[in-house]
Amino acid sequence: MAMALTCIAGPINSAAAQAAEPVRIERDGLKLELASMDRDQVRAFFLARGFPPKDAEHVAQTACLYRSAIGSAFTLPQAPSVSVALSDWQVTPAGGKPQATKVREHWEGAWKEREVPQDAATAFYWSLFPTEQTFAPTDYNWGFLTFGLASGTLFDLAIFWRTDGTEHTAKIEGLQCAQ
Amino acid sequence: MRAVKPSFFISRRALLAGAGASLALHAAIPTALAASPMLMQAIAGKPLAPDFTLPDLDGNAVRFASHKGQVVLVNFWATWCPPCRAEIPSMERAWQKLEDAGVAMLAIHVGGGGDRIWEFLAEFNVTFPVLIDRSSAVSKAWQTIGLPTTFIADAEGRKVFRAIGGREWDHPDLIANILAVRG
Repeated sequence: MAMALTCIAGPINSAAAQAAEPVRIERDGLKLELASMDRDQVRAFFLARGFPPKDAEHVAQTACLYRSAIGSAFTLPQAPSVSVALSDWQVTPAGGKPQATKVREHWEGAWKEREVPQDAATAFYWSLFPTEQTFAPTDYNWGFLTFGLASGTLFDLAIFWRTDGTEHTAKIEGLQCAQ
Repeated sequence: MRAVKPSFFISRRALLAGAGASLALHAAIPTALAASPMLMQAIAGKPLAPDFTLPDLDGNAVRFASHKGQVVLVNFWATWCPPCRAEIPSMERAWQKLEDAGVAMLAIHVGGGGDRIWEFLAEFNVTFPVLIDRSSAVSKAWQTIGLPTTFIADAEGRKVFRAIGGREWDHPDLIANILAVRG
């Protein structure tokens, strides 16, 4: 059952301001922080992982990459687990229709098609936030989220998570892919 | 309005440190971690951990099963993973306490890394064994989903505890829990 929606609208006056201030949520057992990565950072990270320049550029131009840390806000050992499935999340670009986020499985296919070196593809896989994960109290994970939108796109993000079978949702408004 | 909470996030600077191995680590994680209780999740049914043989940094083959009879801390990590970088110093301090108590430690680098791994280990004066899981097949066989993930295996090679995300591994609670696995 879906819980009441919480709208967390950040300032959208500039992408620079947004990059400086991560979005933070701590509610109903979920702890989440995310922030846009600018394209130079994205290129630097993936070039250092062995990506050919054209493929690092492909990520920088098309992934709309955010760094994230997501996990359980619970700190008592007997607290319920928190489950996150990125495949449930929805991205809605300004004036557009809701769409799914790009998860590990999408990129695995993309890198095979583009014949990216295996070491680079392996690093990409592990640098993304897992598609599905269940967190015990205090557990968290780090990883990139990719929304698959063009640079500069404004969008809203609907996130979903579960605690012991109860569904929770929140909407983060006014995000923007790095320009 | 955005909520403002104590951060468990990774600083932009820490991430860039991971982009180039020669840069120093300045992560925001340890402060937040120190404020949290240090928990590990007991694994239901204590499943037998998959055996593996992986090369160490000198190319020597190391087999997990050869540690039978010992409690083993198995950590999956990567040089470019900010929380992995943040927890490595505490893991080295833990190793100083656990090695003498007969506990083994295997830190498994996920993916290739080459010289960056050497540079990283030198930067943090790491002395515990590091293995390379270049294809990440062992990481997946152990049901690791994200990095870092750490397992504690008992003397029979069964997975008894799991910790997802970084920890302060020399925290007294964690050391006590690991030593208690010896029975």
